[in-house]
Amino acid sequence: MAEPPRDSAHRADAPRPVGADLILPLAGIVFTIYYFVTIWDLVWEAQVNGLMIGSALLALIAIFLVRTGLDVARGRATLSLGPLLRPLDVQVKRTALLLLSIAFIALIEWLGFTIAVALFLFCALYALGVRNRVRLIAVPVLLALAGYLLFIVALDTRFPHGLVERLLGALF
Amino acid sequence: MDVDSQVLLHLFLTALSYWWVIIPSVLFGIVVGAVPGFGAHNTIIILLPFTLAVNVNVALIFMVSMYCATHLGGGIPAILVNIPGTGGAAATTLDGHAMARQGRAQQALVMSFVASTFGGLITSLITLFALPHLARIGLAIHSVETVVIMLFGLTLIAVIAARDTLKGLIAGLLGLLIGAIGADHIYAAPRATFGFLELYDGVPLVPALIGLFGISEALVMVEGESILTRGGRERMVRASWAETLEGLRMAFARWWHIVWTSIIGLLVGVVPGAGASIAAFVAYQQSRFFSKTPEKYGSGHPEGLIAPEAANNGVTTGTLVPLLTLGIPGGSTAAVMLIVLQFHGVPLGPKLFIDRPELASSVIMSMVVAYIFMIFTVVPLARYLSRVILIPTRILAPVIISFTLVGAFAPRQYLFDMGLALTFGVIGYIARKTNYHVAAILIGVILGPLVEENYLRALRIAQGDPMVLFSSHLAKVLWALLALSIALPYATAFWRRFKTRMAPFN
Repeated sequence: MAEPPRDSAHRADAPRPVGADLILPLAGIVFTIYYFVTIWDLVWEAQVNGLMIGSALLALIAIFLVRTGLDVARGRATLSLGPLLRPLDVQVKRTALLLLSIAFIALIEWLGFTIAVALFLFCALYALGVRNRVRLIAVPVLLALAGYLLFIVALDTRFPHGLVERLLGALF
Repeated sequence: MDVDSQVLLHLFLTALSYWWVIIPSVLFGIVVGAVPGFGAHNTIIILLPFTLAVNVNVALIFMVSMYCATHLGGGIPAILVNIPGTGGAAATTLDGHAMARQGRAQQALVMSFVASTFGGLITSLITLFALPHLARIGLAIHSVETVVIMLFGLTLIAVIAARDTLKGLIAGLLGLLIGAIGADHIYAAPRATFGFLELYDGVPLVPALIGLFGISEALVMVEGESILTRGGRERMVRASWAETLEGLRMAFARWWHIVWTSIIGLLVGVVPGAGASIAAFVAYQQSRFFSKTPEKYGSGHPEGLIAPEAANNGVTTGTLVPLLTLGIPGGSTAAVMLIVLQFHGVPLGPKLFIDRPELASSVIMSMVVAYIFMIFTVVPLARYLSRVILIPTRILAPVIISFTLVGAFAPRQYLFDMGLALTFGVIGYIARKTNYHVAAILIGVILGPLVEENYLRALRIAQGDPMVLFSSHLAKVLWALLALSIALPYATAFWRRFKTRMAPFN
């Protein structure tokens, strides 16, 4: 039988990065404490459910932290963030998508549904590396118009109205 | 009510004559089911003026057809892009999306359509004959049993969905606590609302679903050029109608699987509040438990796709049982139907069987006819729908984010909900990267308010005694099953290690 490459053997023995695994449990502890603080002065009917679930959650997180701590102490795991931030080159695109989403939510009230969707799609496609001009223009325009027809014309959802909605509103 | 063949034939032909309502409702229902944020209940609310303006038969057939179709439509994005259109399709992502990544999206869609339509059809026929008997199940379940069923369901999801049971349970309980945000049921005192008035009614479910599944998936998706694996892409490009035929063959070869998992959906659906998400996960767990190849589940196993889809549609008839027999809606869509039917002066509960006994059967018969129409309408679409998966992720990810954010706004029409969806998107992204399964968090958020409502009711009846949760035989059995479902993965792992260690001595 062929011997496995030294590199992969080394990787199999390497300690697992578990730092990122602690983010949700730690957020869970903070949120549970906050929940307990907000119900502190309330009557028992408003407290009992949160206390039951929050206590069970804290107990499970405690077990998880002990398990993780033992793994780190035995050298089987490290506290690095590992998979959360990998691959690093994609992190830039991901952050751009998140920032554009925040901008989309902030601006939709001023720009209106159709223009905001088209602008978001144009910027996001560009940020993710689309350089074909036809795609860069056609995808945002066609999808924004399809969204207008489905959500505003067909389903009558009250999205913020802008220039396009006012102009097309006269037609539909 | 006695059901004789003459009456049934008459009801069938009457429902069939409304084909002009059923076909557009089914197609519209599939579209709204596939768009996260547009479930049957909020679409019926949006179209409420229509349902109130037309006669009661048209309104009923429209609502029922759309309701069934949305349950089927929810599975389409779950398979193609790992984003369930409705909470009931969350379990479909486990094997359905894995099949799609391997280039078997067309097969997966056809199997999902067959399982959904035949699952719905079978349970509708069972309900037609057993309506009064099924109602007794609903009567046997009180608030104590409802709490334990929900906790049992959540535990199953945590154990099934997450690779690490402890992480799955933490995710589920975190979801339950998030679901407990908002004003309390009796004194309306705000709890953990972070000062946002928009959270006083609790965490809205649609932004949670959209963020945890849709946005987080888009954030992960950008790591690759395509959703498909290299081999999967080659297969998808070559895919022809033969894939549709193969999907049909694979689904019909597992007809017995469709039958029994859809019955699980029906039984869970009868319990008010339990819902499609729990039914689908319970069916998935049972399917894996009785399978000869449980190790294949999660990697694109056909039975892992059929079970949740059949159960998800079995629920549709189940949720109407308490509505028709007791006047208690079994889910949010049934609640909207209740309002429309009351507006039309239709009595519900025992009075329905005295005043208009034919109406209860005609509701179920409309479902039978809707499912028959559905199978012929949707199966040919699988080939074209599956092409979505060929779109490069650099285009797909922005489209998913923009349209899911729009979906988050739709139900309550608050901009706040779009921000909330984005927040859940970041939580979902961290959960995905660290193997805390997002389905466990989501089902926790869905069940959170329901658990509290039933737990408080049970406590008030028992004058604050927490031991009320162990007060009935059924509850004790359910607690035992819950404990067993947590212990089983550890016991199995221990047994495997023990066998491996003992192997050299044998």
